[in-house]
Amino acid sequence: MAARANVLDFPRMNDESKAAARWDRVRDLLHTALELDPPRRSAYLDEVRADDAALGAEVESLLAASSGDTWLDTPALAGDVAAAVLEEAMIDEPAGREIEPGRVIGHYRIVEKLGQGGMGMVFRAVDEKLGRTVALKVLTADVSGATAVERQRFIREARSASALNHPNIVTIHEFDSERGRDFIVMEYIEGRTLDKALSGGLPLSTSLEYARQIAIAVGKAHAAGIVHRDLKPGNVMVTKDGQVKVLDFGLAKQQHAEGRLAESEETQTTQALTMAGTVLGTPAYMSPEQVLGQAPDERSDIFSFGIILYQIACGQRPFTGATREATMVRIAGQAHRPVRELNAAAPPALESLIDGCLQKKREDRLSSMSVAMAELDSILAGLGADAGPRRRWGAFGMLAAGLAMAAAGGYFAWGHWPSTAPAAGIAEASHSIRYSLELQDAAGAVSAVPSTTVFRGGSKFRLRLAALESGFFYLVNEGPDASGANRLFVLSPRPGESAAVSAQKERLTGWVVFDQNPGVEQLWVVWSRQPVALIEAAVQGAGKGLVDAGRAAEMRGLLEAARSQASVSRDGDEVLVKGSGEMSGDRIELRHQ
Amino acid sequence: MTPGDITVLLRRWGAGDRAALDELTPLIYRELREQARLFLRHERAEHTLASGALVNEAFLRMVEQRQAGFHDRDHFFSISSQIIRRILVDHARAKRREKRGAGAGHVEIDEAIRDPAGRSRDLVALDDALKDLAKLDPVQSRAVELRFFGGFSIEETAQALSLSTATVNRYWVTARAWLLRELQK
Repeated sequence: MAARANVLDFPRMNDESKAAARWDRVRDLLHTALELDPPRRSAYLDEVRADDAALGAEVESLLAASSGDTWLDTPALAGDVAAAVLEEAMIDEPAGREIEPGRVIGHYRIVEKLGQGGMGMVFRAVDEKLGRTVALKVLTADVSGATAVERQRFIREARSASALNHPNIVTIHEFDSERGRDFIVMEYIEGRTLDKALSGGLPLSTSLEYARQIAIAVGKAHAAGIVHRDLKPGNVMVTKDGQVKVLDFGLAKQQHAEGRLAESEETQTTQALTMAGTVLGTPAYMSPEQVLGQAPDERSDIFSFGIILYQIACGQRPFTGATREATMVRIAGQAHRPVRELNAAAPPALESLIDGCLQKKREDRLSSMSVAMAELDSILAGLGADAGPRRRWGAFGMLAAGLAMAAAGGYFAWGHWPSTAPAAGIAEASHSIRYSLELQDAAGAVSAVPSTTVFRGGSKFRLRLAALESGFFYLVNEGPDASGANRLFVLSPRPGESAAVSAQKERLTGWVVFDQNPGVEQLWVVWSRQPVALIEAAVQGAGKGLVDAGRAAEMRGLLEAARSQASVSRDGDEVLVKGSGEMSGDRIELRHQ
Repeated sequence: MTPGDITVLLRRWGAGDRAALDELTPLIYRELREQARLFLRHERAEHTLASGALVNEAFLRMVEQRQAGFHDRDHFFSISSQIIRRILVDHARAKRREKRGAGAGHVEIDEAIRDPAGRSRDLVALDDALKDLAKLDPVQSRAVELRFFGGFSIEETAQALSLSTATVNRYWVTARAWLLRELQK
């Protein structure tokens, strides 16, 4: 080690190798000390200290640390590694993605994947404690990755839904989580989803019998204060014996909350919609209030049930669109095609029942699920005694018919509304906007004008607007272009401008000059709580406000939907628009002279 | 990924290609996960089984036996200690982050795992100390890694490092003393 000592003195050495060389020295001194018996060791240390005090202290402190058996002498155990690997696997894996047969979650051994739902993956699994087959739904990270408060609420709701005990409702055995991953253990049902059953084609009496059982299940839940929130054929199972089991009661609300959680003020609505979309699955069975971002209640389930009935009666859904957004717009603002127009053989009472369910405004809808159930009973009775699957419930059918009589008052209360009723006045306004139109004539004089007015080409106008609540304001023009074709153009905001309006702050648009093309110019005034993706996209698009022809129909649907949510009153030249939903609007018509 | 590819990755890693470990880790994890599950279900009681055995077993199942000669096996048994170090330390770090996240501003330092003797082991601190030791003396750092994480005996460590057992013994005693003193600081 003498050679090393020489190296220590070498002047150009860097700190690291100096430290390493010193450590070599320390190690050798320490080792020598350890080989000596205690009295000689102490004498040896004295010698070292006399030579280099710091070195001596270093060796002494190491000697103190070297005595006895230490934890380092027990190697890491296989159990530690196994536990760590499994725990990491639980944390890292996106829920469901790597869950393979044989894997154990809780005390449930996965057998096979059954399907993928909006909330997570469903597996057939074996309860290793009880030896029974169960269905295990592992929630997606989107749902289980919510904030503690959101998650608590979700668990609470799942628990209350699991208290529902009814042969037409899937039994929830357990709701648990393992290492941050939530899962629901429920009754395993051998059968197929109503979605599949319907696509195979069924006799009307059979599918209406299924619908009747859905009504019973949902009615039972409503009586217990639980709203399904995501009623659709994919959430309904049908067993081989023709018994219906409704799944996922009350679980959908969290999905909604999730979609909103994902939104921040900076987030584009498009993105939020897409994100919510991945969680929500299809919007085809949503109610108008859900489409417009309002909290669903029992009546929302009734609307969704109406869509299922419509699908049963007509073989197609009442509201469909090429995009999620188009579908949502139709749900919110477009009347469905009359049932008997698509299926002349459908009983008029069924058409009436469906119309009662599909009212856009919840207060206009069928009053309760028990009314629907009773009505279906009488429709089924009318379909003839030969109705095969119905026979099994013969005795119950009699009872239900009695109920139908009892509920008749309720039935007539909604029965007379026309299926195409436009939304009329809104009982409770939760927001309002006020606007007026100002015109500047050729001489430069500015005056407020009524919103239905005749104007001369070349004159300018602008809109003065104030809203009671902060939100987003849009002004969209629909009118003929030089070729006479209609086109939609966003007048406000202009590219680079924000649509945001602060509560009770007046906003003035820039002056708008119309071209000389004759015809009617329509102006759509839209106020929304959230940015409207479709309009924002047009503003930011290459057309600088011009709505792509391919999206014009969708845009019109959206504008109409906003308008249908509002009640409008005029006060002189000022227009007051009241609404209770997420969006409201009005249409102004300007006629060229 | 065929067993042959895994052998190639192991060789690359053995030859000093650090990127190979990044490619290997997820593969080993997958294999380990299956075994870990079995282990925890059937052999939890067997506390004396060193961690190396579990990972070595995973390697052996992944690697084409024909291709992996005796030398290779020896080699990847020594690699297993590095894999285990990575698994346990990463896990301890994740746990520490988790606690930090949950503790709303309160930083929890004592997330140490309890060992069978009831003394606490801070694997994150050990990992840091081993890195410091490696700067002073890479061979000693490696010896500790093999002994503690890989569960190697003195003899096996000597064989893996091509040293005499006497030297390994001496390295072990001094490195252990140094580490324990560092961890007490």
